[in-house]
Amino acid sequence: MLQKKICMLGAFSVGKTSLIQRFVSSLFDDKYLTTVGVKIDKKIVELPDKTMMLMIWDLAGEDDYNSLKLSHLRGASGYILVVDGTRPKSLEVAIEVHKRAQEALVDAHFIIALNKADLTDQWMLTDEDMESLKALGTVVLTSAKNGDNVESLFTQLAVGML
Amino acid sequence: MNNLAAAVLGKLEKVALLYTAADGFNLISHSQPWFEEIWGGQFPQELTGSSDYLDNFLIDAIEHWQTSSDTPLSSGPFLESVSSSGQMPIEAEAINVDGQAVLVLTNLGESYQQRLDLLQSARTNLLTQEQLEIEVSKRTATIREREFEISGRLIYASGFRDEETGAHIRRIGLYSAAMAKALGWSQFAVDDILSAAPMHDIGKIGIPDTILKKLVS
Repeated sequence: MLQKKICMLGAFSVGKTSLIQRFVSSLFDDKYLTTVGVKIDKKIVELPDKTMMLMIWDLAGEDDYNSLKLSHLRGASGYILVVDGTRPKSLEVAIEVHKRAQEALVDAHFIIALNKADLTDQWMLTDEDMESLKALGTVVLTSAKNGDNVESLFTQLAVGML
Repeated sequence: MNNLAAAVLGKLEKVALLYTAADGFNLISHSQPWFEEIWGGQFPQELTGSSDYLDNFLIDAIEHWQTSSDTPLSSGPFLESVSSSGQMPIEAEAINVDGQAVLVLTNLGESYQQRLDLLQSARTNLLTQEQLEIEVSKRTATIREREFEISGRLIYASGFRDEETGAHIRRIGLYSAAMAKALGWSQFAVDDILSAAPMHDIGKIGIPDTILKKLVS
């Protein structure tokens, strides 16, 4: 079976672990539980003419206390850049992390998850922010809370990595 | 390794393995139940393929052993799935000891939970700080809007008092903003000067008509 490593990247508390939990176990916990270190989950994805095992590396979020280790990206075929629509700062972090990831993973496919789509009434991104996000790559509006577009997010990335 | 040293490592929830390219990994300390649970089936010798995270770290570890550096190389914490407790937090360190390559694996146990609690609290504080910054910038924007409104009204009032001065100070504001922009000032500073520059002649509002409108022969 085809196996691909993907990484979840972005600021802390944007919902990286929640998106994985929703995708892998169909679960969601409203309480924010920070990630320390690395956890790897696996899930088989059925694509139109292929079956792919996704090895999902959940990396601790980027902040003053933790910085992305480029060695964790080694061998990754793709990554999901997660942005929290309610926190403009998470967009700044995502752009910065994306730059570093692009240098380390030249041919990797990536997709942007604009998460917390269930809270659009609290979103703080300006039109300019949205434009700069779209200029980076494909943006998928997701909600780990209600599951919106989560399956599609991972599937789109998997198809892109074929 | 003598028994006392091995017992100390055991108390610290650590196991040590000696690595050689020819023989792979061999235990040089006592084994531990947690170690058996995760890697028992693979040992001795084979480590690769037993943990996706460790496979990745061992690439760096082997490079590190070749450098003979005295500083241990740490993997940072990673979670291994175990049937008994779900997940076990582990840390690996590659160490050069007298030219020999040693891999130390530690079950982080309680210390992981302490680190988690500490980081949880720090990140919750960062989130609060972010929310406060957003709130402050919202309030600052409201104050600036009010300042611009006052400045606009004063310019408007000066135009009533003396039409020529009114037009002049408006132009000064626009010229100043254009120059500031050309000089690469931030939008915030450009807006400031656009609003503040017209104030330079505002004192004319208080000058009596007999002086301001005095005809010069």
